Amino acid sequence: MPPPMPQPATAQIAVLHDARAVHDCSGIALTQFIVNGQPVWMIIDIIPGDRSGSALIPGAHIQAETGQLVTPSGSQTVLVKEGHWRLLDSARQTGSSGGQYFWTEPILSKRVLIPEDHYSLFIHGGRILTSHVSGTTGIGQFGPVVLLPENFDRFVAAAFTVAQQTPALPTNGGRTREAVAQITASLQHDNDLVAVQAFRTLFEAGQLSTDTLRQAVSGARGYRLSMFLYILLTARAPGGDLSANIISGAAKGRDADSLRMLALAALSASQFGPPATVGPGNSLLASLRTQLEAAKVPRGRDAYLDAIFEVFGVSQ
Amino acid sequence: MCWGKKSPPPSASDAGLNPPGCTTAPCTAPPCPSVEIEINNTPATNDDLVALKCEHPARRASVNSRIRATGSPANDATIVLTNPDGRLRFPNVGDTTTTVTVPASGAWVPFQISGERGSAALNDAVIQAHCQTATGDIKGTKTVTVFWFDQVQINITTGGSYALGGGRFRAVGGNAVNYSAQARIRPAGVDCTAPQITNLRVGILQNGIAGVVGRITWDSPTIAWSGGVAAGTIVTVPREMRLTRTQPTTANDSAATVAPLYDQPGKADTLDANSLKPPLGCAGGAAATSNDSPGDVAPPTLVVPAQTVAGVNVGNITYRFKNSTIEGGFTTWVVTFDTSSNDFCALRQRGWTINVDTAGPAPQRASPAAADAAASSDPLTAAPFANTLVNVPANSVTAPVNPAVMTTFTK
Repeated sequence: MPPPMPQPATAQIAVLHDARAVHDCSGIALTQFIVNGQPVWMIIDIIPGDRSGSALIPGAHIQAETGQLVTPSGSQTVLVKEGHWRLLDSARQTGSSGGQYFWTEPILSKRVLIPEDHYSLFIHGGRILTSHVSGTTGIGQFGPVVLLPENFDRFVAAAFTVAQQTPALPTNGGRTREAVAQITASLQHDNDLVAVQAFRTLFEAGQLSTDTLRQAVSGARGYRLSMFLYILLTARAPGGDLSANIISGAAKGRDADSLRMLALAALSASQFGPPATVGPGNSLLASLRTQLEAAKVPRGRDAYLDAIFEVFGVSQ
Repeated sequence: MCWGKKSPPPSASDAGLNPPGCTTAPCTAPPCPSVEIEINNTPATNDDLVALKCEHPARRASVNSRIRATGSPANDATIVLTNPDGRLRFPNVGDTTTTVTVPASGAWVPFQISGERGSAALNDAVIQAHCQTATGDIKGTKTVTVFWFDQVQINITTGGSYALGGGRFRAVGGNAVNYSAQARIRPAGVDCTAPQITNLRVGILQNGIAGVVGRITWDSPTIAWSGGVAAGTIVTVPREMRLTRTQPTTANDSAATVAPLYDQPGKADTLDANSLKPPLGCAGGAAATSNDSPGDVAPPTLVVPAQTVAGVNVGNITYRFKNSTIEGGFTTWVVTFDTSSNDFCALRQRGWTINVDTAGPAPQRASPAAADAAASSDPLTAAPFANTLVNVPANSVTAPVNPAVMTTFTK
């Protein structure tokens, strides 16, 4: 039984954590963690140090007697990312059960932000699926990183077992009718990672029938629902009006928990999706807000929804 | 060739008065054959088009064309091409006519045209081929259309407002600004599949104006004394520190993948999949859209060690985040863009500014200029791009806000 996940500091950080986790798991590529046919995944906790996220000026100091700031030529203020990691589970024996991390990053103006810019797990922490790369430093030592929502670590080992038994599941190549049927069946798998991988694989290949798509969304709960909707919201080509209809209808008749998960999907698309999907994410959030207003759901009844709308920039 | 009496070589006084080889009457100009003209070097007429000259940047798109004698003439002939309606040039601004010699062989002779004034209707620009001089007999004509754009707009609307969250100061609830750029091709009925138009799209180009782009200020310093520091040790530190980030010169707000434009679809740095659109009046014509959301990190603390003149570290000074600003000005153009040549023409422009502060009253938003206007300047397109300039270490300076205002700690 792994220890409880590190708790984010504030409600806003908590929903950003979950929004990034929805983004990361929706785009999960199990093949990234399979090398030469062998799984190499690890589940680790990232526990940031107190100073992580602070600014530093490398090599600079304040002269104690005068208060003068002495800055080396060419120095630039940077962000610190430091803390330690703790191994929880892995596909194979590893040489280390944990370690320290430390690096700095320049504060840069960026045209397009990456998930780490919106929610830095090395500043705020989280439980991740990774394939720790020993011998490297900086953020590269963690290889591909998938931030996991709470309790998703229990799906990881089984998901790789299913992937090995169903090679077509994690790949988008040509596949037989039999393989498609097998992947379609995985949509109902009780393992959320398997179901999400199947959903994305089929949806991106245009192999998800309208009925199956509707059934999958209407039957989904919790983070699985958020991830299905995230995939629909951020899809580039397949889906089109169908996706829009399913997304707009997804909120109807939902319980409070599902509405929360819909809002989370929208926030995830808005904050972490490709730039072109910010609009659909924002639209869904605005629509949910209108529905909640119409239902006269008072602010303060659901702290999680309140935090989502605060991050979105509106009060519920 | 001379059709009159063969004469001795011409004297200076005769020069220019008679055809070559003829010096005196009754030597007369040779007759000119009828001529045939092809625009864009094809017999098709749907591509008898040329773009109106561009003002920003100054550029004349020229169209290769050709002329030849017809009817198996006995001799070469001098032809002067004119355009009485003034919509065309051949092709430079001063070239209101051009003179060509069409060989008797019927071989094509090249010339070029450019657009000086837009056509009010299809085929209202007429090339006349005159024999010998600009006022000679007309031996052929060709109609051309000078296409141009109206209903040109660059709309900038405010989207989200700024808020601090998740360690960033950023626009929430939408983009800081949304762009919509459009232009309608004129005159109605031009064939948008013609080579001169088929690669033309309406897009957006943006320059970031030189100046400060953001400041992060930390105050309320505290000290964590190093071990072994003697009681009574005094440390003096600035009360406030500020990171100021500057873009030293005006530059293109773009990236190598989408330059010279602000945005293009299907690239690594695409912001909006609809950022390039055919002009209105062409199939698929629509407004091109994109957006901008400048943002910045908001580190909760700044940590700086304190050191004696002797080089002994006596403690770490931790400043707390006070506020952060995002500042700057932008000029945004609606442009026509040739996806084949990467040439662009700025049609209209609009400015917008941002001056938002985490400590300011809500809502904090970007401010678009009231209206767009005809393009009055050439966009800068060369690298380095705006972000590259800001990210040069020398353009990010952390320093005391007021070096005279200090806080003192005593161990």
